[in-house]
This record gives sequence, structure tokens and C-alpha cells, in this order.
Amino acid sequence: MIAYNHLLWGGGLFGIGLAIHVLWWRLRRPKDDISALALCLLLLPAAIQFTGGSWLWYAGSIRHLMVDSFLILGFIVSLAAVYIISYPAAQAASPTMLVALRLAQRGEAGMSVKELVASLENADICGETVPRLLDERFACAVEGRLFLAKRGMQMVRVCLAWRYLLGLPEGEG
Amino acid sequence: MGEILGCLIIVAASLPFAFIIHWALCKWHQRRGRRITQGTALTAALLTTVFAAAVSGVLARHRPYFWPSVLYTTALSGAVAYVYFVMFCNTESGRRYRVLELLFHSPGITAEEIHSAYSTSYVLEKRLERMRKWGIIEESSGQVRIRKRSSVWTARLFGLWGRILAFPVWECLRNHVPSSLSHPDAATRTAAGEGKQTAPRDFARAGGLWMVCGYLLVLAVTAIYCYKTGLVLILADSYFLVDRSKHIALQGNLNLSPGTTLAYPPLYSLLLSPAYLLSNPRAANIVLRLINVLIYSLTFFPIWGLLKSYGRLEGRSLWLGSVFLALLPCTLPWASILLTEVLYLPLVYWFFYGLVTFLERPSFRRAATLGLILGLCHLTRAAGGVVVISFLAVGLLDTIRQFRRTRCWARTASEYTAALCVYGLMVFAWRLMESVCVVMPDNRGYGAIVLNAMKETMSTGADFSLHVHWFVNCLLYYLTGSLTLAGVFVSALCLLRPRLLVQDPFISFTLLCVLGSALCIFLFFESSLGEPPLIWNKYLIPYVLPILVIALRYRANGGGVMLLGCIATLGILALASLPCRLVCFMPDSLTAFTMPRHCFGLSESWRAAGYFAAVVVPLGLARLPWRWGKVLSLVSLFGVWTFASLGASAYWGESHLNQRNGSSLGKRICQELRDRPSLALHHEPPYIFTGVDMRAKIHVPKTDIPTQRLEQIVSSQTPHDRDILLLTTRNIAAQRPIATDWCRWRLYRFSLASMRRQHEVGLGCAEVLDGSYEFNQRMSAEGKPVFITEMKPSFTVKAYSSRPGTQAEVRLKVATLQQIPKDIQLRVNGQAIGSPVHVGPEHSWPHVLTAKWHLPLETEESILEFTVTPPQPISSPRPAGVLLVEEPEVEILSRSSSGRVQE
Repeated sequence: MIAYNHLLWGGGLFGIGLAIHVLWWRLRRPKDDISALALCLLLLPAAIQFTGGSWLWYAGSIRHLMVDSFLILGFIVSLAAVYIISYPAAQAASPTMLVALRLAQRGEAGMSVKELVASLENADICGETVPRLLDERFACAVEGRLFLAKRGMQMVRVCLAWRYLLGLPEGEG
Repeated sequence: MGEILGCLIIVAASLPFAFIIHWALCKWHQRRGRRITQGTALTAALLTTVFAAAVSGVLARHRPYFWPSVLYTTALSGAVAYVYFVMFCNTESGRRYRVLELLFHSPGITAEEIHSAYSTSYVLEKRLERMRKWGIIEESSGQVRIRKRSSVWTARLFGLWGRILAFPVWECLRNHVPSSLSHPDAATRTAAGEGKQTAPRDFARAGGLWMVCGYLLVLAVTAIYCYKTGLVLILADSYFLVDRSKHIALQGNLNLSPGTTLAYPPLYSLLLSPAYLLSNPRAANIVLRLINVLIYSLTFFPIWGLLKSYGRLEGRSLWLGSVFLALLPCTLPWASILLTEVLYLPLVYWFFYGLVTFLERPSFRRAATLGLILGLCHLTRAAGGVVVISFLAVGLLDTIRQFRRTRCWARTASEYTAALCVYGLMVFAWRLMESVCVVMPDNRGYGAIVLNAMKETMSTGADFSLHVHWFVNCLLYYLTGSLTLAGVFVSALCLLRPRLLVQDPFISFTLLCVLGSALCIFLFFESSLGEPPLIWNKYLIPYVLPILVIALRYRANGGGVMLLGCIATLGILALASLPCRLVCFMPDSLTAFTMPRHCFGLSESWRAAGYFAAVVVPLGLARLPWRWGKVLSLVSLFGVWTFASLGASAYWGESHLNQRNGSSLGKRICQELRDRPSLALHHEPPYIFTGVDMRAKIHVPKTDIPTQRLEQIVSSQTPHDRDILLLTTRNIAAQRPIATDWCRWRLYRFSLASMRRQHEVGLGCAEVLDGSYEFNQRMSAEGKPVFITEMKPSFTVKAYSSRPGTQAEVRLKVATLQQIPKDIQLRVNGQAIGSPVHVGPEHSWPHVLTAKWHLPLETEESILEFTVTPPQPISSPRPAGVLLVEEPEVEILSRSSSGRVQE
């Protein structure tokens, strides 16, 4: 039976993973962010659940324990998915957000488009994008030339198929 | 399993559902020639979530798990829908996806080519165009301005998270605003001193990181301490607190059960309540400890702030000082005790820190914060009143001081008034809520205790002298006891330089708190507590830290004051003939004299001498101009701290109050039940303690009629009572309810130790597991006792023997609760053997009857079947009872055989 415990416990395990993620990033940011995030937010909570968590949740029946663990992990996976999909917006600030913040800094006075473009340095907008894609193994470099890696190829194909099914043109960036 | 399967199907269907909705919306827009935006994906995601919630609600309607099921399904489906939406946004305008797409269409391009194809100006142009379309920004007379603030708040939220994770892009945005682009009011602000950074950014960040590391260290040590020690329950107070937590968690109100004769403030109970949402006792126990650890570890931050601002420490000294003081041997043990002090400590520390900042830079905002913390203190412990009165007195002093100095007293007075108003509002709101919304039958409330105790104290001369004795004893103890040296130092400092009391309100506030606590004991404790050596030193504990911080601030005034203070204090103590005679039942601040009593088997004098030397020597070493002096002093201090904490852990770990050991009822009564069951059945201590595994201590007054007692026990049922049988009835005239929850579990396990098979309860397992209140209602509705009746009517045992004709002895144990005749019929291979064994009224529980038969095993594999006649059904007017039947044991008697027995 689904209970609040599953949500609470799942949330707690996710919180532990999140705390470790913050500490890790503060001390030394990993190269491959996505894999490290998956380790912190998925594998670590799962490991805790299947070791210490099992001991806590075990109430005499392995079957119930497995069902409980499954429900908890389901909740953790959903939280982790939401976090990981939102993570790039914090990691490489979205230009829309940067524009909004710059304009908010100026308040009612506002600023011209020219000033706005000048204030947002190149590095802020897409300086980190290519190195991150290489680090996260979406792309690979051969003699200074860039190619899609397996992971990136799969992703692009799925997304193109998806947009094709929806009848949409390519995105505009 | 049905609802889990349903939930999984809904979650699995969310993605295709979102896609279909999105596809339909896209087609609809395309037919009307409209532009498809990210809004369509958002609509599809929202519809998917709502649909999932609705379907799960319909599937789980009228079920007890309705809300958890709906929440769980909605959360998972919502996550799927959110991922769908964000992925679509990424394919629409994501930079990473855009670059990947470029690489897909033109493999082998260089990074420079990517940058030129996807330049900053291109990106910004597209984004600005979109923001204009969505109405986020507006442009007039060549200037772009923000129109919708929501996008700014979202950006700030992500920015905050980005800065927590130390992403450079957000730092750039924060720090490198070109001068031409800075806020128009910036110059004015800088002139006013606002927003001025006192330290370089790198240093500040490093300091913050060290602070986080210190906090994590304190958290880890506290967690290890709690894990090692276990959860300690003190007297009935723990039960009263926990009772309210259970009400909050299970019924959603702040009520108290009948029989909880005291009502404590609600804040700590509120924080404990999440633990009672868990149905697994072990998990609940661990969560309780975790909550305590988290609350206690929060003491680190105000200590850090106090040492930095008032104690004037910095760098490594600040870090080490904060860690050492957060783990004081006199406060650390509270982390494992289920009492309000756990929360009160950090709150009082925050108040002291808030007071320091308020005194340094008074403002109405800081005053309101102080009032808020005061209110929280009072909603945690009634003793918070001492802090309030002391604050009021300091406020008066401060106002008078301001009046004499600058005549600008009105603002000072109004700031203190504002703080007291915020506090008053909070306490008034709680009092109002308590009187209107909270049901607390038969309790006295802490206000009533105070009044009763005061009346009792003042009424008789004999009691009065006892209370004076307490007061003097406590005050001397308080002023000298804060880790021995600091208390003496501060007392002596104030005696020799009384002007400090006016100049530094922090000192006067601390000493007023100490005096007020001593007065509390004088006025508010009942004489029935007994002897001159009073045990309530716990009232001192929150003020140990401020005393140490004061000692640190005035450390430069050191040696002479210390020496004079020691001599003066020892003289006073000798004259008063009261060498701190508190019996340190609670964690103690006078660790040099008392804590070693609990440790490691050495004689008391040696331990005291060793401990005292270990405290004094490091301080002396630190003063020496020797290179390794400070290192040695730190090592020595660390040793002392570890020694004292291990001693405290050992003491509380072995204490009978430790839930792990079984509290009063748990261990003692179970032992009695084993030894003298008839006595135990009539044992009724004033408070029946249980541990946390059973989550209840039941006060059963002897004057109550048995039905009420039974109801009280039943009313304490929680979903935790999984493995518990209610072994009690009102039908035995002289019998009293003996226990509940965990105690019954222990009773069951120890008294009938060999009977551990799965028993089915007559009332219905599901009702006991999930419907404790239904159980209660049913009992009340029928107006007669409901007996949980275990019955497993038959067992089958296979006996194997290599030699047919071997004799086997079959033993069957039956325990019966009361006078209900039961017949036990033995059948072997379906054939009745002999006459039924009768278990009659003489076999009252927990008498264990052993029925025994000798049987020949006719074949190599004999099937022995035992049938027990069921007891009377519940609906019968005749009383039913408990019958516990153990799995039969079969032993092959013939030694020459190689028989074996198997179920």
C-alpha cells in the first residue's frame, strides 16, 4: 500500500544525495556533471535504500520490502529526473535569465539593446557549452574538429524524430 | 498490490499521454495558422499531471490510502510531464541541443565555426524577440525594461542555486557589473554604507566553506553519539511530548490523550511529529534520533556567530572554538534525550546571538527577530519565561543608560517594546488556540504547575527553608559550575568590575538568566521533589555557552582576576558549607566534579583529580610561549572532551531510561512476568513507561474502572502495533491493563518466548495494522470488550524415521489467557488419537500447558496433524479469550533410529 512514508523516505534519501552533490560541487566540481549527478542522486540513494534502508523497512516480509523499496526508488528517480533536467539552467545560465537579471539590476531606468549585449560577455552565453558537451561525452574532438559522440547522436535523432512527429520545424535557439 | 499497479500504469501512460495531447494541440494551432510556442508543451504537461491526479483519485476513492496514492501518482506523473516540457523547450531553444544539432548536420566543424554560427548577438537577438513576444520585457524610447517580475524571480532562484554550487557564470553576473551599467542609486547606497563588502569575496567564500565543514563535523559527531547512546526518555515528560506528536501526525490536531496530566508547549512535539507518520517502529525510532541530531547540530551556527562577533575570534581559533563549544560535554548528551531542551538550546543560543547583533546595531527588524525567537523559546519550554524577564530587565537598563547618556531613549525603548510585542503576539495566539482548539482532558497545564508549586512553597515554613536551600545551592552552582573555570572567572570579573554589568548588557543578561533560573527552582518546584541536593541542574545548561563566550571575550583580563575569583568563590563555598551538592542526574555543567563519577571504574577522587588536571593543564600550556604548547593544549582538550562524552554516552547508554534497555515497564515488568506472572499482572506503576518502539506510555489511574483503562490503552494504538497482541481483558475482576505496545510485544516474546509463529488475531489483522481508531470505535460502539483472539486451529508436522515403529514424543504448548475451556484434539494421519486434552479455567494466562503424546511412527514418513478446537466467537455473549498455540515439537525417542523431524 502506498503511504506517506514512501514519499518522506524517498524525499529524505534524495535530500542526502542533494547535500552530497552540493558539497562535492563546492569542493571540486566534477568534469562529467551528468554522470556525477546520476551517481549522487540516483545510485547513492538506491545504495542506501538497499543496505541501511532495507534494515529499517524490513517488517518480516521480503516481498513487502521489495515493494516498499520499489516505490521509494520510483519517487527518488522522479525527483532526480526533475533536478537533472533543470540542472543545466543553473549550470550554464540561460540567456533569457541573464537578460532578465541584467535588466532587473537597472530597475526602471532600463538599458539599450547595445548596452545589454555589451554587458553579457561571450563566455556567459555559450562559452562553456562546447567544453561541457565534450566533458559529458555528447561530442568528441578529433584534431580540433568536433563530432557527435554516440550519446549525442542518439539524443539528436530522438529529438528530431519527436519534432518531426509533432510537425515542427527546427528550433531557433 | 492493485493500487500500486494502477499507479505504475498511470505513470507509464503519462509520457504517451503528454505526447498525444501535445501533438493534438500542435495540429490544432497549425490548422489555425498560429505559431507553435513552448506554451503548447506546458499545456500538455499540465493536462497530463491533472489527468494523472484525477485518475488516481478515482481509482483510490473511498480507500484509506487515498491521499498518499494520489500524491505519489501525481508526483511521478508530474515529474514525467515536467521532463517532457523541459526537453521540448531544450529542442526549441536550448543552446546545448542547438550545438548538437549543428554537429549533426555539419560534422567536423570547429569550435570557432560553432561560435560564429551561434554567436552571442544571434542568441540575444532571438531571446529578446521571444521575451518581447511573451511580454517579459518592453521597449520604449530605445530602453529595454522588465515588465514581468516573475521571470526575474525565477532567474534569481536559479542564480541562488548556481551560486550555492559555485558556478562561475553567476558570480560574473553578480560581481562584474560594468560601472556604466550599475544601478542609478548605487552611488547613494555606497555613500550610505549599504552593500559594502568588508572582506574580499574569496575569503568570505572560504570562511563559509569552513563553517559548513565545521557544521558537518558537529553533525557527524552528534549523529555518532546518538547512534551509540540510543534514545533516552525522561520520566513522563517524554511521553507527554510524544503524545502530542502522535496527535499531530495521526489526527492532525494538537490534542492530548486523557491521562496526560501535564501539557507542555507544542513546538518540540510539532518537530517530532513527522517520525510518527512512519509505521515501522525502527524507522520511527531512527527518524526521532535524526530529528534530534539535526535540531541539536543547529547550535553550531549561533555559536560561530557569537564567537566571531562577541568572542572576537577568527580563523582557526574561531573554527576550533565553534566545534568544541557545539560539542560541550554538558550539552551534547541532550541530543539523545527526548526532551524540550534539545530544541531550547539552539533557540537560546540564537537569541544570545541575536541580542549581540541587536546591541551592536539596533534596529526594529532585529528587535522583531529577537521577539520572534523569544516567542519560539516560550513555545518550546515554559522556562523560556526566564529569558523573557531577563530581556525585559536588560531593556529597562539599556533604556536608562541611553537616557543618561544621550537622552535618545525613546527609540531604544520602542525597539525593546517591539520585540516584546512580537513575543506577546505569538504567545497570545498560542494561548488562544490552546483554549479554543486544543482538547486536553484532565491535564494541569504548565501554568497550573507553577501556581500550585508557588502556593505550596509559600504556605509552610518548613518548605520555605527547603526552597531557600535549593536557591542558594543552585545559584552557587550556576555561578561556579559552567565548566568550572569559566563560571568562576565570570563571577569574579563581575565582582571586581561591577561597572561591566552596565557597560556590557550581554553579561548582565546572562547573569540575570542564571539568577532567574535559580529563582525558578526556588519558586516553581514542588517540595515533594524532596531533598536539599536538587537534581534540576538542567536549567543551567543553556547559559554555559554564554558564560564561556564572556570568558573568551575578556580573556585578556585573565590571570589575576581568575586567581582572586577562585579564592573568593572557594571561600564562599566553604563558608556556606554547600560544596555544590546537586545530584547530577541530568547532563552536568560541572563536569570536573561530577561526570567522572559515571566513568570507567576508577575511584572518584582520582577521576576528579585527573579530569580537573586535564582541564587546567591545557589552559596553562596554551599560555606558555612554547611552540607546541597550543598543539598540546588542543590535544589535551580534545582528550577531555572525548573522555567526558564517552562517559556521558556510557552513562546514558546503560541508564534504565534508555529506550534501548527497556524503560520502567519494558524491562522490569517483562522480567517480573517471566519470574512471577501473577504479580506482574497486578503491577501498576504510576506511570507506565514504554520506549519509542511502542510510542506510548500509558498512565492508568487505579481509580479508573477497567473499561476506561482498556480504552486508554486502545486509544494509544498506532499503526506501529504490527506485531503486538493485546493480552488483556477487563473480565478478570482483579486484572488491570498491564501495558501497551512495545511492552506487550516484549511480553509476548519473553513470556512466551518459544511462540513466535505467525498468529492471526481474531479481530482481523488489517484492523490492528491500519485501523487502530476503527478498533477503538468498534469497541466503544459495541459497548463490550473486544478480545484479540489468536487461533490457528491445526498444524501439520511430518516425521521421518528410517525404522518404522519408532516412538516419537509429540509436545504441544498452549497458553490461554483466562477461564475459557478449550479442547485440544490430536489427530494423526487424519485419525483422532485419544480423547481431547482439556484446557480449563484453572489455566489462567500466562500459564503454558504442554500436551504430550507418545506415538509410534508406522511408516517412514508419518504425517501428524493436530487440531485445536476454536474458542468462542467474538459475538458470543460468553467471553472469548486469547489462545496462543505453539507449533508442535516432535522428538524421536528411539536412540537407535536415525529419525528426523521436519515440518
